[in-house]
Amino acid sequence: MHEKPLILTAAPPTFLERLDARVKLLLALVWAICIVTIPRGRYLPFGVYAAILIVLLVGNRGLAGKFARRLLPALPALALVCVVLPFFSHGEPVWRWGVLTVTRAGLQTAARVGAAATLCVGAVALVWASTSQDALLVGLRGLGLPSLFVGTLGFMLRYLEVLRPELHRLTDARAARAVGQVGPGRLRSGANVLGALFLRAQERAEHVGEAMVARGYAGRLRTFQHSHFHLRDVVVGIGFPVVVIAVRVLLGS
Amino acid sequence: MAPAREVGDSPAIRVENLHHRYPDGNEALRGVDLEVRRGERVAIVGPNGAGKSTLLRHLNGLLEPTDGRVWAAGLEVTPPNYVAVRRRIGYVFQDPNDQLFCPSVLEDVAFGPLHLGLPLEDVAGRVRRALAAVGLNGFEHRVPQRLSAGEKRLVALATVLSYDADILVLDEPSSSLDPRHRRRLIGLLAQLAGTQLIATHDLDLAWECAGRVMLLSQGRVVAEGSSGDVLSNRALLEAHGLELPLRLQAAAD
Repeated sequence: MHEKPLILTAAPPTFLERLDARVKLLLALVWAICIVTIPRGRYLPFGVYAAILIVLLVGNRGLAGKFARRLLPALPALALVCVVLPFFSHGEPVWRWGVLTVTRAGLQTAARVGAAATLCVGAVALVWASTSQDALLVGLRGLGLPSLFVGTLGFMLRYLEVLRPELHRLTDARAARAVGQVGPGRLRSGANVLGALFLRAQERAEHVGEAMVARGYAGRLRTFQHSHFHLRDVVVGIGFPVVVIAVRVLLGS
Repeated sequence: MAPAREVGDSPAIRVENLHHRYPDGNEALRGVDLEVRRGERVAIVGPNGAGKSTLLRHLNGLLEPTDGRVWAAGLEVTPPNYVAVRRRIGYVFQDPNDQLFCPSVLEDVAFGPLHLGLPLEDVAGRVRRALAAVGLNGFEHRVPQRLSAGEKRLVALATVLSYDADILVLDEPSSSLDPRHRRRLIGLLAQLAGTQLIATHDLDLAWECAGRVMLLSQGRVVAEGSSGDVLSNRALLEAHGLELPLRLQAAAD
């Protein structure tokens, strides 16, 4: 008897979530290539790309929270790049303080690299926020990436989910026994937590592996997710790159 | 005691002179012989470290014998038969956290049918029926790691019910269950058809669920017989680190 197809999750509420993962991954690649090839001294394309990203976010408001959670951890690294770069370029100095010199070329490089990195990381965060783990893995496999790579990535994501509660248990246990601990003692107990987590991760991975093998796993993960292109995928898959490349060519040449 | 059940003549599980030595030199099994007939429910009881889990792991090829032979569902448990054997044996692990590693209950319950080569169009129905059997309708989209211990145990059971295994192998199924969930689990096991092999040191559960009991201690079978005979033998149980089931203790006092 044929059953109704399984619905893995509730219907994705935003347009971006409904897009095929392969399309989103390819669009992110086109986006990144266009941005990193913007020549020096051209800033308008960055502004237009930022506007496009904002329009995408406004048009898919349901993703705002997930997008922010994925972007925020990258912001300190982006900020560090922007703060450090102005001090490491030769050229006309605009500010001096002791041995430290900020140059005009350094400021321009920082602005360019900072803007490009933020826009690329933003696009990755948006793809990540709008794509389920399984859909992402199916998309990567559909794009022809080696199955060993996709399988390893899949395990990594699964084990992260399994280990998160383990880490919570360990940090709770530390908090219960290390009341008021500060300085080196706190660092030492933090290191102990990481060491214990490593050992538990190894043990848990072994057990989870056995549980998978016991239920038929033989080296290839199978999911319900199967990619099918819809009209929206074709329209966006052609239209979006045209816009992105047009911005790059018309405003950035 | 467990109600009488119709038991076939042919063996569902047969173990001959099974030895297992772990790489660290620990000899967990020292010549175990066991036969479980189709439809029979057998409990393997014994103290911690008796070799119960090691014995169960041999039944679907998670461990290879140092010496001896194992048959399950008419097939010798050897590498060429692993897939066919695993299709017939539903192994419920001691810790449900090892068994539940997917992002949703639905994917965990579907993992077996998907990886054991069952028709994809049947998977939906199998998942629904398995969750209904354990009384967890509507749990499909719940995150397994956030369920209560009792719910996790029931989902773990559903993960093997979903592929209609002929033989259920349960490792300490009542550990970490509160009385309400323990009672529910016992009721469920009583309703399920097929052969059951339960490793436990919960002797009350063994009393209620199994018609026959095997006492394992230090890797050897030291007693075997009807649950009434073995579980009421106070001297035998106490010699091997166990106690009379609570219901018999009350009667004896």
